[in-house]
Amino acid sequence: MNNSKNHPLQVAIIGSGPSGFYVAEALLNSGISTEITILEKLPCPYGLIRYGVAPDHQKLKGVSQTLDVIAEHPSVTYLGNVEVGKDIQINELMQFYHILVFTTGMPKSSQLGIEGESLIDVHPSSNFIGWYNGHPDHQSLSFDFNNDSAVIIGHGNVAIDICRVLAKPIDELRKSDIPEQALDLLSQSKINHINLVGRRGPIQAKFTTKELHELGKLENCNVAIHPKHLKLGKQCQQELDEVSNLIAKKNHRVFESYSSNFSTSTGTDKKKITIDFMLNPKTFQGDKNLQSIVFEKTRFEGPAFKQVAIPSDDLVVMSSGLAFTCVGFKGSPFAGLTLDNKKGTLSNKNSRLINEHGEIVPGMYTAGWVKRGPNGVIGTNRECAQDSVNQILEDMPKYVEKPAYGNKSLIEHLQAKNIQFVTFNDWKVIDAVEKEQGQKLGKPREKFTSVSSMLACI
Amino acid sequence: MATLVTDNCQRCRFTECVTACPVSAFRAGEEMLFIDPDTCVDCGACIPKCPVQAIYEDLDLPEHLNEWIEINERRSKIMPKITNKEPPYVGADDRKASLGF
Ligand SMILES: Cc1cc2nc3c(=O)[nH]c(=O)nc-3n(C[C@H](O)[C@H](O)[C@H](O)COP(=O)(O)OP(=O)(O)OC[C@H]3O[C@@H](n4cnc5c(N)ncnc54)[C@H](O)[C@@H]3O)c2cc1C
Ligand code: SF4
Ligand code: SF4
Repeated sequence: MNNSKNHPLQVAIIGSGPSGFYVAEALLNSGISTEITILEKLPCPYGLIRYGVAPDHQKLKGVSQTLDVIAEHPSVTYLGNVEVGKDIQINELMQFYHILVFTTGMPKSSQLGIEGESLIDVHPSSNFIGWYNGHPDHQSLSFDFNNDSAVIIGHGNVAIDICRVLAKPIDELRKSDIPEQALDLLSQSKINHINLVGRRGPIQAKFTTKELHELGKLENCNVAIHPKHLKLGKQCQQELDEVSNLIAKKNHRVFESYSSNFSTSTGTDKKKITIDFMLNPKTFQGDKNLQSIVFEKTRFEGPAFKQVAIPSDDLVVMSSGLAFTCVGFKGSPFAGLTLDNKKGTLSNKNSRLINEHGEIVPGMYTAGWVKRGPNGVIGTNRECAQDSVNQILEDMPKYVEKPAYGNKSLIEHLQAKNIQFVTFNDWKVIDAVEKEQGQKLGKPREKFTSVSSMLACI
Repeated sequence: MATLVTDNCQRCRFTECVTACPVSAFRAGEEMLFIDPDTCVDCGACIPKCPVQAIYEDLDLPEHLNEWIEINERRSKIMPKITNKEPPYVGADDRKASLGF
């Protein structure tokens, strides 16, 4: 049988973050006849656009409007509140689809794997981000902002997001879509000093310039860097001078402006953000609550662009009662598929999923964070999804031999199993209520923070 | 805040930037691309993609390129959308070399 209007390629995409939508977009643009079902464990779509991207970056959250256009294509069906692996198993889905594409993202934080990491005041970034973005899985958490200082470990944009939420005046945060419950707790925060600590130097930091620059623009806040960190060694200078290393050059200019604040940043009533480099976390100390963090000073070894930060015996102790670790993310496993323990991705060969013996699992593909790891920006997932779809198209003739009935059969199956799925029109109802509630509070939306409250309004 | 394409793109048009854009904000001129500021969400995905560093955030736009803010605004409104990679302009590699990249 050939692919045709009466015999479309039936594809189920698992996970409705940007990658899921971009896989759908690439399939729709490929010219083949296809029907696509997007399955999402939560009632609401958009993944980390809704639950990761900072609540005070509403313009960026506007990417969701582009995703809406894809969701509303006549060949696309969105089914929310269906968790694959729990509500429905992979082998059940394979009865209805030619192809499954896993775009399930990386919901968990990577761990440092050091002593004291389980103390109650040491929080993996995913918990805090999920909490202030209103993710239903993280609402029972609590954070002790009754501290003078907080330490954030990691030098990427996630660390900056967390820093901004801690440093921004509460009246500014009230204009974002942070849920009221979280705002109440943040409004009582006593934190006035935040340390952003990284293992490597300023040239290797993974911040993007815009986010870095934004920190310095925060009202009532001083950002400081000790000038010693900008005295570069030969290899670091070489990395900075490399013509293609635009981001390091742009960041360096911002770092320089922060280092000129260093001597003036103490003794004011402004909040203080210190960016520290070349420190490797060794232990979190405290009985039940965190009291201090011990770091090992690091030094570089190796040639430019391949420098490794080697910890030394020279220790630095920072006292603090609150810490956040932003050192990466990892995916969740699925029965029958393998998770690459090192990378935290679903094991795959060029987007094709492989089992524990390294053999390709027919009909199963992946895209986005869970395929390549937690790097890049939203748009990176668009390229990544196109690449995955190219592989699918290459393999397609193998699959369309047998007919598959896609969402029509799946919907009957879900109904028979008594699973209450959420359609895209249902989501639009939830969305409208959230926006209406938000308007009353002078914010873009007031999110429902539980699955039951979302379901109750449809 | 705006992200814009400047003159390094002229007669280059490698279009590496286009697939990275999450909201299809690029518009195709004859010799170069433009960004529609009303569509762009300033995510920055396109900036590191450009082999000739033609894309800037207004934040660190060198002063002599200021006019490009207005040019992008104006030209993007009359040019068609481009969402997929296309072959570069003929001679693009020479142009790239002459720009020092
Ligand atoms: C804190 C933070 C801030 C960020 N800020 C920015 C930024 O400012 N700019 C930028 O460009 N990028 C930013 N990003 C990156 C961006 O969010 C990611 O690149 C992008 O969301 C990854 O998309 P994805 O679709 O692969 O995964 P996700 O967005 O995580 O989507 C995965 C989806 O799969 C669903 N899912 C998981 N398991 C199942 C299952 N078993 N069954 C059904 N559904 C399931 C999840 O609920 C989720 O909706 C940020 C990321 C984080 C964490
Ligand atoms: S990648 Fe750069 S040169 Fe190529 S089209 Fe985009 S802006 Fe122009
Ligand atoms: S900054 Fe982002 S949204 Fe704007 S044009 Fe570049 S990729 Fe597109």
